[in-house]
Amino acid sequence: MSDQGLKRDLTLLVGYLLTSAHGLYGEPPDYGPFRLLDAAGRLLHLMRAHGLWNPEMDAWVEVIDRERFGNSTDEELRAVLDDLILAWVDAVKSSTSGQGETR
Amino acid sequence: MDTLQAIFTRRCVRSFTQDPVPDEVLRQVLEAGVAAASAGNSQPWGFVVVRDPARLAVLRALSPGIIDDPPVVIVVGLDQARVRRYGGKEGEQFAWMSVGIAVQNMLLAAHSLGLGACPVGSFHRKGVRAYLDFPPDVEPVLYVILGHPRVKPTPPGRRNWETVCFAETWGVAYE
Repeated sequence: MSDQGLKRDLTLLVGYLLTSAHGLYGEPPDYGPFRLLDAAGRLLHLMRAHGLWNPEMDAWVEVIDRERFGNSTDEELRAVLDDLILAWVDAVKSSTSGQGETR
Repeated sequence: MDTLQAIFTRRCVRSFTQDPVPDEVLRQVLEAGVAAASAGNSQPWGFVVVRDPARLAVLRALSPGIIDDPPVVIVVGLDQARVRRYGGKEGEQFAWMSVGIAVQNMLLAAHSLGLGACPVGSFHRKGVRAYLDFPPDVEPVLYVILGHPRVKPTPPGRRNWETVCFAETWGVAYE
């Protein structure tokens, strides 16, 4: 996909984030984490559509999409987020390992 | 599907396939909304149907309540001029009630025609009004998102009959 396509999709995501921020003033407090999870899911789908992808992200998207349409309690969602964050840390560490070893 | 079966088996569907909704099916859903009861027959509504993918993407950006990519969004406008025509202090409340009835008609019609649908209220009203060129007296108040269900939702819980149905007086058990 082109830079123009990426620019368009990122601009749409900006709209979503601003709208979510505005809406949360009048919505139940537990909508906050859900909106952020949804934003992460949208960003991941956008990254995949534009070829900005690593294989481990498949599992993240599967989990996030399941939660977006599921009925998890706050406690269950926190546990899911914990696992996702740890998976993300692993991915970041893997992608940065080896950097700085050669000078 | 008969009416009672539609009422008891309807679910809020938020995840859709990208299969298009046929024009004749969409028209029947809209006609169900138009046929709804309303306070004083005020019919204080208008329905903007959005199907163009690029426009749906913008609407989705303005609408945190749309979680997936529905192929159709019906934006329900509340016509304040009609609300004022009905008049009275409760005019606004009755107008909201009327919109609710129209939306429920559309949800049931969609379900009976094999589609999934869900009401959505979380969106930026000023942004949507500006993007869809609503006239000054009409405010976007609710969506019906619509399409072929990707996932069949599990039934949500319901309050016990005994806590909501009473005989003659509130609190007296309905036997």
